[in-house]
Amino acid sequence: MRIFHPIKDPILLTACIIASLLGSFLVLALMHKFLSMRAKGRLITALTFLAGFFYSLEFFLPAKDGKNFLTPWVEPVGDALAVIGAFAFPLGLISLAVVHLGNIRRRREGWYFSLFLFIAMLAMALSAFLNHYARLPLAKNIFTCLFSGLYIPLGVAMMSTLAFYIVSAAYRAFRVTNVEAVLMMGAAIIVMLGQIPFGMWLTSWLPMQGIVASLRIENLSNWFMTVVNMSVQRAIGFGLAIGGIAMALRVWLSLERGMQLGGK
Amino acid sequence: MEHATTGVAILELSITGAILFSIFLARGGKEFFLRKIAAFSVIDDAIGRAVEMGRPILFSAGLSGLGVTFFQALAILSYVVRRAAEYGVRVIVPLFASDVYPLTEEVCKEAYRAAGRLEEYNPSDVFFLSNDQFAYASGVVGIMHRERTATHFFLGDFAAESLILAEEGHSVGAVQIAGTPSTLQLPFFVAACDYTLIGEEYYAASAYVSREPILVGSIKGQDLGKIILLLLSLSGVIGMTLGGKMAIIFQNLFR
Repeated sequence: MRIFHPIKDPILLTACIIASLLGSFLVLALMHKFLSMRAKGRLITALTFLAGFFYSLEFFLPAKDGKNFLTPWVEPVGDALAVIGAFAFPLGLISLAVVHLGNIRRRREGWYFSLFLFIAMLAMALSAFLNHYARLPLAKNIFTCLFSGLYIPLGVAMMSTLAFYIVSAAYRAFRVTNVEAVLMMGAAIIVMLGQIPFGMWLTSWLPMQGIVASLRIENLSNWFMTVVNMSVQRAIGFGLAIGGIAMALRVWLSLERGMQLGGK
Repeated sequence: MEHATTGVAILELSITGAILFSIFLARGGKEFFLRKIAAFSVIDDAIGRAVEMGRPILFSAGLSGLGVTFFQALAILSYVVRRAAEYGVRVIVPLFASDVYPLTEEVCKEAYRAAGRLEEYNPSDVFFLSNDQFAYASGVVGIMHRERTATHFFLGDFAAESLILAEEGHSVGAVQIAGTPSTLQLPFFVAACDYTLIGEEYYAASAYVSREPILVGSIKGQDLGKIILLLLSLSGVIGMTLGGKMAIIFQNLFR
């Protein structure tokens, strides 16, 4: 079942878009005019409960061949949510524009960076559209230069700075100030040595079989990762899963005070 | 589509039942004890530090989109903004996802209203920054350096940018409180931040700071859920050790 099938007829598509926008504006305007803040809050609560109820019911109801009577509706509901999410994107753009236009208008420190943001945004959007629809060679070159030649390298440069941050964080973390730090540093050294040929070479004289083989650095490293580390990860994972269920319940039943709108 | 098997349904409904039971007990007036967790105790101190220094607070929900992780971050943000508003401190909230922007803005406005300072709310303090991971990270780092923020909250979904944010935050001398459900990023936060919410502490934060009986009840419910899982794990260990039919039962319990 697909309620968001692409419409082939351009006239019908345009009519549907205009009707949807007008309908949405009309409904929102009426709600804004006639609903009190408390009523709006109740409406949000009801919609939240219904949405959560649909997904939980679909998950828990017995399924034959992986389907129950609600399963065909999962995709359309997901599509509807994606469409609603897409409507939020312009809001983000408007927010960005408001902040940076304010910087330019008030000539705040570094206002020219805000100007550069708009120039970059327009250049990227225009070159991408012209490249996609008009197939202009110049647009393609500009887009390639901006995207592959500037945007991707900038991202990679940010990613590569992580190496330096890891060194500085590790320096602080492994300063031997107490017993726990000594244990952590010892474990870290063994794990790191277990990942490199030099570490394996250090204990290569130990036998490959038997109890003593457990003392080979790669086996010690493996033991730290699969026993000590994994047990803690699983314990944290259990806690997170239950915490997630509790939080989801609080949101679903609108018990989370900080998120209740409407002046409750 | 994934559907619950009988075992999964029983387990999930047991945990949900335990949480709801505790919430109803709390609503009935039963008081629950919460152990002291350093990260929660210092939230007010961290806000106080920003007040003393006369500098803003930075709150980043990382790469969170609409979901349970973001809702928890939002609940803590609501508290932080309300307290900051009472003392007249700005809270800068750069966002990664545009779909969470209206909700975040509304929650911040509501927090200012609750503090009785709605006229001081500045809409340009809550803004969409970028939905590219490293563009977002460099943008937040820029804010830290330009605004000389005194306190940082990193609460939400984080990936590789966690250490960039936390290390840069450390370099500007800010007090940093972090929390994330991502176990891969926790070590970075522990190494670079002053206080870190580990594991389910992240989901307990809003209950801790607000002391709302219902939320505290849900924390108690989480503990009951953990007891259920612990008993199940112990039974599984014993069953698998004994072998035979017991082992087969446990192997097929959640299939």
